Amino acid sequence: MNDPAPIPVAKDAKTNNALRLEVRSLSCARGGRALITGLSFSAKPGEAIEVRGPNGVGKTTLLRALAGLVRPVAGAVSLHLKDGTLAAPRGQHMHFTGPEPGARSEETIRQSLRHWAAMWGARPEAAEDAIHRMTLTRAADRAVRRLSSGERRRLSLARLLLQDRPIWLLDEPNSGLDAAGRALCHALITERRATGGIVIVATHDPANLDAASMIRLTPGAVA
Amino acid sequence: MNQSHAFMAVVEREARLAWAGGGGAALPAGFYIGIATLVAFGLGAALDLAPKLAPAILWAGLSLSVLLSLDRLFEADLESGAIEIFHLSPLPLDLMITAKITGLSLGIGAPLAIAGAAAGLLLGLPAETLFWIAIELLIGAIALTSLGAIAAALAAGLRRSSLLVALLTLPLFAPVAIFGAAATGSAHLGFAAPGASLLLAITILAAIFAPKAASAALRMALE
Amino acid sequence: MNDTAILHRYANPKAFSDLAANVAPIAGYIALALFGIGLPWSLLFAPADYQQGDTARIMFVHVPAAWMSMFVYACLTGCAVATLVWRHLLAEAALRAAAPLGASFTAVALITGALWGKPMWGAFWVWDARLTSVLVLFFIYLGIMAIFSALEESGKAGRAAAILTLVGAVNIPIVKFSVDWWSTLHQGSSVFRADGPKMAPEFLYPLLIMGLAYMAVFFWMWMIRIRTQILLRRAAALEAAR
Repeated sequence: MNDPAPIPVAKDAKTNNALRLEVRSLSCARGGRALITGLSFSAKPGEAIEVRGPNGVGKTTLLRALAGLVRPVAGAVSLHLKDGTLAAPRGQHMHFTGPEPGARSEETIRQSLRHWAAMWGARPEAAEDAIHRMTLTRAADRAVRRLSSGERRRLSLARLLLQDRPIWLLDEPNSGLDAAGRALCHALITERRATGGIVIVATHDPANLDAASMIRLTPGAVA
Repeated sequence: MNQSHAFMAVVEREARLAWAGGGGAALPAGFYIGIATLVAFGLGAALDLAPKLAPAILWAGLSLSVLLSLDRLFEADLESGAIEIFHLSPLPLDLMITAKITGLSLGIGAPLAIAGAAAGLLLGLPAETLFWIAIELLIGAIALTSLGAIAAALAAGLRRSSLLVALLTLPLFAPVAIFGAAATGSAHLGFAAPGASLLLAITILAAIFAPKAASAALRMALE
Repeated sequence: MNDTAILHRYANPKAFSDLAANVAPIAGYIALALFGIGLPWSLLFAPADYQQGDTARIMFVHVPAAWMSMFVYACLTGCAVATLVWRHLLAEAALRAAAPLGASFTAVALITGALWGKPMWGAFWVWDARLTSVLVLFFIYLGIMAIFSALEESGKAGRAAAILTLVGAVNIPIVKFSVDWWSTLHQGSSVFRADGPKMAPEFLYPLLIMGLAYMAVFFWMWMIRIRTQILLRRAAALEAAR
């Protein structure tokens, strides 16, 4: 078994408190229904946040609002980078993984990862390294429609390795993964935190992240 | 520059998927020839009318063939979450759509133009004009794909949206079909044909402005 | 009260709904009165056309309908801009309410035009620039209505329809100027011209009265339909809250 390739680390691995994700009075709605009202928090490098709550309460909506994919009803999200500047738009400094694989059913793993690497201007070898690290080597030339749910989830997680981005927004990253897969996901998250990133995980299942703060969403309010 | 790499990556992916995935370019091209043949059968004894009717048949057939390919533009990527990941890339949404339109046109434009020229031959058009006809069909395919992208974006995310897309594309395709048929009718005049310059004009306008309208619509589909 | 304050006051759906409830009947009565004058005047008292005889009287039904088909689209464009820029629910309701009315006027124009075309040109339909662009306008109206019906539940219908409205607005100058830019079978502009109307007063005045009558009918029906939209939305909100 070869050693897994390391994630490209940030040049400055010291925790630099200038990196900060700030959320002020965020209110989100979906389909006309208010899901989140007046949420405020901030996150520093190395922090992990678990967003917990039952299905349909708004965890995914919150992550998407943080990524800038949905416009919030009220409030603001701002990302301050390591050099103190304000990132606008902030999407390019974030990785987002949702339930879908992010590739069409006829695309292969290799094609999809190479495409994203090319699109983000990552090193061309990054796709191969990611395939290797996520133990997808044998399935690399299989089309998405013929992948198991674990392999699809690992494909989404492989995207995280293509480019070094400080913020990770992971929506139910463990779903569909077996024990080895969960361990791998946990290792990735730990490494990202150790190199000064911020990881926000939405889950309705205890993700056992060490020393994570928690945001608990309940229907109709936020705690 | 980040954006030009990202742009080319999207073009390459879209062209590759249009060419290879799910029947590839053969499907719209085959459909196009099929329609022309059906009409020729329908004319029956009045087959000597075919050359006069050919421009209309060619452009109606082109419109239908492009319509068929439009749902590849956004549906599959929306479902697979790829559009969301595009959002977190350095390419602004309207450029991403321009790239997709370019890619799709590259993928199906040439096959459709060739299929149309072949259909023109079947319908009795003089062989010397076929080159100009193919060029006009190629330009028309670009216009139709751009305008169709607006309709596809408006209906994106809806189940069974094909009927809505068809209805929306009707007024949008009409001018292209009108100018194109006029140009093809006098194809022996090449670019001096009436309608040819209008066809070019509408193609350029569509290529510039349609992505903006489509990106506004797609942004709504994301929320 | 200055102008912007008035605008803001009636931009509130409830205030507008009450305003509409009062104004609509007035518009209705005005419409009735104008039709009461216009119809007899145009159909009975205006002189017959020296070439076409009484068939030309269909002009008094056809032309105002055509005017309205474009006027309503202009209103739709205004609502579309308001929907996209200010996300105003009232603008969305107005857009939704006006679209079928515009489609109806366009249909009346197309059908009466075809009925007039048969005796005048010998054909019910010709593919000249004016008729074709009006037909395209009709399909755009249908498309807007289709968007509202298809995207109903997602709540995005208003903005999607607004985008389509703006895209389709390109067609309006084409409809207007088609008779100037291309050699068409359809008659050129005789009323809305840069150098004033070219029509004889005996025809012009009843035509204008009919035009105003159509406009009054439009406002009457539009007010009622907007109010209905507002009430439906309120009812839906109450349902959801239960």
